[in-house]
Amino acid sequence: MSNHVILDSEAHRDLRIRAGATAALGDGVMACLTVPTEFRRVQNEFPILFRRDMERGAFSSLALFGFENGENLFVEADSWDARYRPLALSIPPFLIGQAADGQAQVHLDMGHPRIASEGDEGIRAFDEHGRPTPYLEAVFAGLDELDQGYRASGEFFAALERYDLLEPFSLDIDLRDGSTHRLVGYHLIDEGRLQALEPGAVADLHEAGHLMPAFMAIASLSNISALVARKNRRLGSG
Amino acid sequence: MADAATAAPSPIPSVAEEAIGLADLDGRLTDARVPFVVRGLVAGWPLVKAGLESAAAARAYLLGHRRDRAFTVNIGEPGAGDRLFYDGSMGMNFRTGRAPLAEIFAGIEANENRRDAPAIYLSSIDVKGYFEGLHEANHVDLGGRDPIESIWIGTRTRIAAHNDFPSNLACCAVGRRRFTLFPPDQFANLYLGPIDHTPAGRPVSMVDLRQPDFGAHPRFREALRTAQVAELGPGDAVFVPSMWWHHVESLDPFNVLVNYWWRDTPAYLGQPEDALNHAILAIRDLPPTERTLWRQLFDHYVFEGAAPGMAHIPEGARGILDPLDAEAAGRIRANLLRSLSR
Repeated sequence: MSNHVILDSEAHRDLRIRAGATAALGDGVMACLTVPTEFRRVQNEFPILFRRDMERGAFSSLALFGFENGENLFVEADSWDARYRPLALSIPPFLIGQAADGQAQVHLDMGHPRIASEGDEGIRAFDEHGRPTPYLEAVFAGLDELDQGYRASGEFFAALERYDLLEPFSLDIDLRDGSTHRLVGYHLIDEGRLQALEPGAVADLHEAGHLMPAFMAIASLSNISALVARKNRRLGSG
Repeated sequence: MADAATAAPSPIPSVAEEAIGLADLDGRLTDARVPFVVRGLVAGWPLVKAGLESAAAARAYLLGHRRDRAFTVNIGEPGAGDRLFYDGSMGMNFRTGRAPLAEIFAGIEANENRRDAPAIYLSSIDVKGYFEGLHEANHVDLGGRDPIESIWIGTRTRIAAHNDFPSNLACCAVGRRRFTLFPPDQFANLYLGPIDHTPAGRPVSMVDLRQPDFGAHPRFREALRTAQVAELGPGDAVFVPSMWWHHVESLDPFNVLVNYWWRDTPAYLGQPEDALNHAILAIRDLPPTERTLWRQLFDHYVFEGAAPGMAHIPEGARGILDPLDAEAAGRIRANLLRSLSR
């Protein structure tokens, strides 16, 4: 089970974090959470899809890395083969927890494989005086952005639903080895409906800051064919 | 204009009234199985107060909260009366268009005193999607339920009896409305029309409640014996339980209703009407012997409920034969999507 503790510059003075991208370090995932404020960076490399949580009915956004559970086509020979690494992958083993007063605070997952043991190489989280290193500062910024972005994303999806812009999406992917994958259960933004929005609706989306991420999410879909090509390359060499 | 009650063999009894306030509603709705009326439930809404001042004041209030987008509106033929229904050749006797709310309201106002005024009806408009701040100032708190909140705006209209799967709390905000209710099991006595070609998304009774043709629809007498009527004024509300049939008349030159739909079962479950459509697709046209077998299988797997009769499969290995959770429901959904998109 997870073992989450509050990050503490005294207790964790010597904490070191293992860098690199491997399945063993937790990167073997077919998708990770992203948020509308991050779409601009994500859309350059990864398809952005939406998924509805059947329990709560709420939507969230995902950056797609592969076509089946556990498949991350951007993990290549222990390194991250893309120009951008999504926040949700760059922050572990740190995470946002909640203090008793409801304030967000930084927690550390003590069971996470990124925590370096003696003898492992790793990036220090605190310097010898107990000050956060630039690495940890960057993690703090990422945690904060993801946390705030996630809280704000409810408004984004409410606006997309208001104008009926979310469309169920399924995709058949034919691979060179003759197999077919079918992605189902996702949603995307209906480009035709977005383009056809009346001026009042566009103004509403624009004023609330939802218009740009909506177009970014649409732009991201051109990465699907690149992702299929990645998969086919892997099949070819495997 | 003929009254619904005069067309019936005997007067239709009234829906029971309950004297409860907004604070008690949540508890009262839990396990509610039969209709009830609450007088004055939403009498405090600014929208209700504006409507009591005048129809124009209610329209101005709504316009003050509208979002800048086109509204979908149904418009009947001038002089064709208030019934929005099929025409003689099973087309619709109204057309559907989209226009800014101010334009639609101007049309209602211009026609207000004309004898041949067309029926104008905005049905099931999403409150938060089409208005800003209207929900905040005019809503009923339904506790932990996450209802669909819709507003219905129009002139004198009459909507044939139909039903909905979700439970329904309908709040009459402006004008008077009459709901004539029939229990869920009355479907055969209501002579339902097509299920895939309907005036507003749900199959409707082909019987004209105001002038029933008992020659063509003899069993409708049976339905009438089970009917109840709720006469609502501004601020009054009626609870329509899941699957109860309701014939709805808007009785004033300008009427507004706000309603709430919710399901008491988990949101991850599917829609029963999807299952019905799929069964028509997959089973109804099979040879009778095969159909009979499927009826038995449906009884076994669906209508007798989860778990009983599954003792021969070890616990933990029953998959979707166990009561569903969100994860298992998601798997069924994904498998159905996969197989249907083939």
